[in-house]
Amino acid sequence: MPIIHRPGWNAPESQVTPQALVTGRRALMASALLAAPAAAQVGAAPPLPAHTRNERFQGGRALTAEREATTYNNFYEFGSHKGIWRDAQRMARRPWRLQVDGMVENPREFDIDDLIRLMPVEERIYRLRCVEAWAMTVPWTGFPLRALMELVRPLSSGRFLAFQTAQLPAVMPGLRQTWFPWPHVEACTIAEAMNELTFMPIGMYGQPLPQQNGGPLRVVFPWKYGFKSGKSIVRITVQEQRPNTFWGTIQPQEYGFWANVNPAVAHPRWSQATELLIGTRERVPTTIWNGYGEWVAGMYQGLEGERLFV
Amino acid sequence: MRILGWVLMALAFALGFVFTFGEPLGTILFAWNSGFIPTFQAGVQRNLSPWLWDMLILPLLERPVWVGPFLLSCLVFFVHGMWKRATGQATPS
Repeated sequence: MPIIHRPGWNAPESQVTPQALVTGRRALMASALLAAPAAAQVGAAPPLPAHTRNERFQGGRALTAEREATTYNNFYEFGSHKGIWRDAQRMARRPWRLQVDGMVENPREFDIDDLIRLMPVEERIYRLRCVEAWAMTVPWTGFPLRALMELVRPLSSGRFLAFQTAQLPAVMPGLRQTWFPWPHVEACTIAEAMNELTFMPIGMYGQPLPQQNGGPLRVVFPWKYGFKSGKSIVRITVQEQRPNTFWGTIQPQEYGFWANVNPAVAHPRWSQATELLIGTRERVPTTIWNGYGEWVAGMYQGLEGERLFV
Repeated sequence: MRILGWVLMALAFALGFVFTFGEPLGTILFAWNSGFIPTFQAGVQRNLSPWLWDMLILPLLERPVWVGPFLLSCLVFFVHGMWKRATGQATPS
């Protein structure tokens, strides 16, 4: 399927400012007022680099409408309701730095644009399954986490990765709740990090990744419940001990370390047997590993004693 | 009603002494049940209003634990005083 990536200067006709707005003084002042929120978007992300879609990774169902996927979000630093996308716009996506440290041969701190230039950027369509029993199908643009790990080279003693979300109290009202174990940390094993499915999106729907979806840089594990896929990441630490995760500390019985999708293992407060497709009224059966078993099931052999599905 | 005011005032002081006067209510609730606040917040923000949480409940959680019953006791005394003035009752000694 051909993908059209418009350069930044190629705006559609519908976005051209009407002449009357430009030449009329009153209208110009009015438009300036209207543009104030846009001006607040200091630090907007540049267009994505040229890339192609990797056809190996198909969603297997219709894409979720972009508007639905970008206005129905969980990002606890901004609140607990689904309309956090409005508040999230206040978070600047540039400049942005990523620190990769811990048990690695080559610890690095990257400017995100330098990192993107080093990485094999491509588009993949993944199903996203939230622990709240809803699902989306999203075209992510990004790079495999494995490519980043090959750059920093984890030591053999490094067994886990911790992903730390940015802490920006000026724009994240959730951080006022000082009793929580901030910063927000999610984690995975080194085997999960090196799995070819594990992806670091920098964009979606051909656009830079919106803040509410974890922009400018997040991680995605499509076979796990969505809360495992850390957003707006500023630091990745390779470590020997299993990290204490944010939700695993607050509600360990509901949000465990592994959190792999399984319709047969219910959340303590609701069933996981089916999922609502966001943007539709359709509810479909959930599949184990969110349908990605051929890629990931083998990683969990020998771990049957763990709570793999909560 | 005045008794209720004094009970709330006593409760405020008792909570202050037990949990220290600077400890936010949210910290105490989190220590009591770490999952309570996220569940409560989701219930309020998703089913009632995000505004209700951000502007009313969160500021209360950020305040020391004794502030809530103390303000309530003040409110009770105020309402009691207004009611007495309106009905012309003398204050019993």
